[in-house]
Amino acid sequence: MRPPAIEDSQRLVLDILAQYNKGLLRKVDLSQGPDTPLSGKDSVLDSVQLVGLIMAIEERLCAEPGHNVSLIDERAMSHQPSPFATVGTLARYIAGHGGPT
Amino acid sequence: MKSVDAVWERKNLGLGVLELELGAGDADLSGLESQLRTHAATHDYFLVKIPAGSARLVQGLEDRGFRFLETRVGLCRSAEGYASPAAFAAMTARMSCARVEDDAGMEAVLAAMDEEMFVADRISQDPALGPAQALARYRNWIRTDFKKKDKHLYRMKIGRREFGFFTMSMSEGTMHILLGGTYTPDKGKGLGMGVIHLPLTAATASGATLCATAASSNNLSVINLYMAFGYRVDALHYVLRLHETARH
Repeated sequence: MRPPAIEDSQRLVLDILAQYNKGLLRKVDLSQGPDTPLSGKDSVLDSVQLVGLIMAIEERLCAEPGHNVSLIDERAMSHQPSPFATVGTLARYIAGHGGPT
Repeated sequence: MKSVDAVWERKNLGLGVLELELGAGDADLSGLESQLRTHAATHDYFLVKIPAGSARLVQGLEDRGFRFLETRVGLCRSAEGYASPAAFAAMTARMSCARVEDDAGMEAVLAAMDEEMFVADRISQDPALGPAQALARYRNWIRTDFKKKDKHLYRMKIGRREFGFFTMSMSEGTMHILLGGTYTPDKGKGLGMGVIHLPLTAATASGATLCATAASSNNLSVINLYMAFGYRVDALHYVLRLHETARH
C-alpha cells in the first residue's frame, strides 16, 4: 500500500486536530495550516495531547488495508527536523513513512 | 517546625542552605525568626515549605524578604496490578527501561543531561541561581545516590535509543520516584510519559504497592501526565526562599 500524499496527510492531521479542538479550552490555531506548532513553547498541546493526536493518526492510517504504521519509534526520534514540530513536518513524515512496517 | 541543614547543597550550589518546614503552629513566625538569627552567619539561603492555603504565612514570609518559587505537588497512586492506560498503551508498549548497574552507565546518563532538561526546577527558576546550578545539582545528586544501595538509576529507551532517565528508592512497599527527565534532543516527541509509565512498571516488578513522587507547579505538562496515568494529588506545599542578597 502506498503512503498518503503530503496534502492528504496534512488534511488528516488538521482534521484530527479540529476534533481535538472541541475538547480544548485553549484552541489550536488551525489558520496557520502546515505551520501550526504541535510541540514546543508555541504549541498549546501538552505531551498527553500530542501522543493522543499521534495515536489517533496511527489508528486512522492503520484502518487502511495493508497499513501498519508506527509514527513514534526509534526512527522518528532521530529524524530531522522533528516530525512532531508542526502540522507540516508531521504530514511530510507520514507521507514518507506510511508503508507497511 | 522541621529544620534541616542541607549540607549537600554546599557541594551542589556552593551555598549554606537551611530547609524549614512550617506548620499550623508556626503562624507567628517567631520560630522562623529565631532560626534565621541562629544561622545568619553560616547560611546564605533559607528554603521554607508551608502547607498550601496559608496565605497569612505567605504574606508574613514576604514581609521578611522571602520570595515565592513554586507550589510543590505531592502525587501518589497504587502500583498494584498497574497497566498502562488504554489510550496510551500502543505508545508505552514501545518503551522500556533498564537499571544502570555500573559507573560507566551512570556517567553516560550524566553526560546526556543538559541545562534545558530542568527549566521548571526551582533552582533553575530562581533568579539568584539558574539552569547551570540546577544541572550541577542534579548531577551531584545522581552521583551521590548511585553509591547507595536503596537508590536506583534507570535509563529509558525506545527501541535501542535512550531518551531519558529516572531514579527511585523503595521503602516499606512504596516506590519514591525522585528524579526523571527526557533528554533535550527528544523533547516534544511524546516521550515524556515514559517518566510516568516506566517507573510504574519498575515498581510493579519490584513488588511495590504504592508509587509516590512530587512535581513542581512550574511544570503543568508533567502534572497533566501524572493525572492521565491515574495519580492523585496527595499534598500541596508553597515553597519560598530567602537569599542572602535580600538580607543585606
